[in-house]
Amino acid sequence: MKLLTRLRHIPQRFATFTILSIVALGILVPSTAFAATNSTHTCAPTDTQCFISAGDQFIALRQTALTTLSGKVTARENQHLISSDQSNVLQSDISTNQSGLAALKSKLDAETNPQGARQDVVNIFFQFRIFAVVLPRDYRRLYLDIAVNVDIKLRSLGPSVQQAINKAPAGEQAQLNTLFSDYKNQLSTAESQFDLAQADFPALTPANFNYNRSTYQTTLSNLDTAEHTIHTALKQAGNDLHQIAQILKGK
Amino acid sequence: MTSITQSRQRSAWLLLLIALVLSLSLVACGQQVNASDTNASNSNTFSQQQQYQPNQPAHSSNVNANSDTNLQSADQQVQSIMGQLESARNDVNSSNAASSQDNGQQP
Repeated sequence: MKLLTRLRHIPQRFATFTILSIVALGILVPSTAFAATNSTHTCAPTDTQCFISAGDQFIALRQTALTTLSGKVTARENQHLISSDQSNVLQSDISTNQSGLAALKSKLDAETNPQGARQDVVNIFFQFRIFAVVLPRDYRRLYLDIAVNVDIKLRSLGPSVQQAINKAPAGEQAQLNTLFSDYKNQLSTAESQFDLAQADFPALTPANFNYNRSTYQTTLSNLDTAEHTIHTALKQAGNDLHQIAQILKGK
Repeated sequence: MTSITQSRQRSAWLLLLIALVLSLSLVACGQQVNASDTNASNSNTFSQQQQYQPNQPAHSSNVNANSDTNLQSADQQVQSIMGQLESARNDVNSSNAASSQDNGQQP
């Protein structure tokens, strides 16, 4: 009997284990998606080859991250979420950084003295700031480009939403108009932030990160606030539209 | 008797033929409707949403039905785009999380 009970519990335990594994993977995978090997390399001051190897690894990590961003930009363009002009701005920045890193790698690999090799490795961080500046800035720009286009799309739907509301039963008009009014207000809120957000990008540079950190941080914080407002407003406008559609569907 | 039987047989064949033609027509119509439904459900990209025409001229009796259908379709597309906007937002958050890799990690 005990054996039977145990056997009966095996599938349950297995299922529980599987579910827990999936949940654990779900938590772990996103958190490691952007993570890179964070190993600390300690080289002897005279070990040129050690500096070269470490630098090559740092460069490879940054090239991979830039290639990932480039792939996402291409995907968004293919999905027609951003225009080719918007895509070109981002791809150009990615290409500039990838070329710069490739040139630095050539220089590093050809170094014959440890001081030169060490300085090249320092430059991977100091000149490029791929993880600290370039990727956060370009992902924010990609987000903003998509958000602007979503706003245009939602704004263009306004007349047809109004038309549909006008044809709805009288008893539903008040609720629908309240939702539609909020829809328009949310779009206005998002639109009020677009120019503010766009104006922040020029200050997000490696030079400001290195030499003018407080300005850099303030600008980044302003951009985050603007994008947060945009995101909340567009989501709410999307919810309003969904509610309007649901009410009209049920009439 | 023979002529009556022949006449009945002809009528039966005629009815069978009409039924066959009707059923073939219905099947053909059904396939076309399914094909257009599939196209509609796949249209979740921005350019395809732009194909959405809010002020399309509608036939008199179908005005309400068409505008409602368009709105439902637009809503579905918007909800899909919202998912992609959320995904772009997550990419921003992930890039923030990775930004510390540029801080003092030199050999």
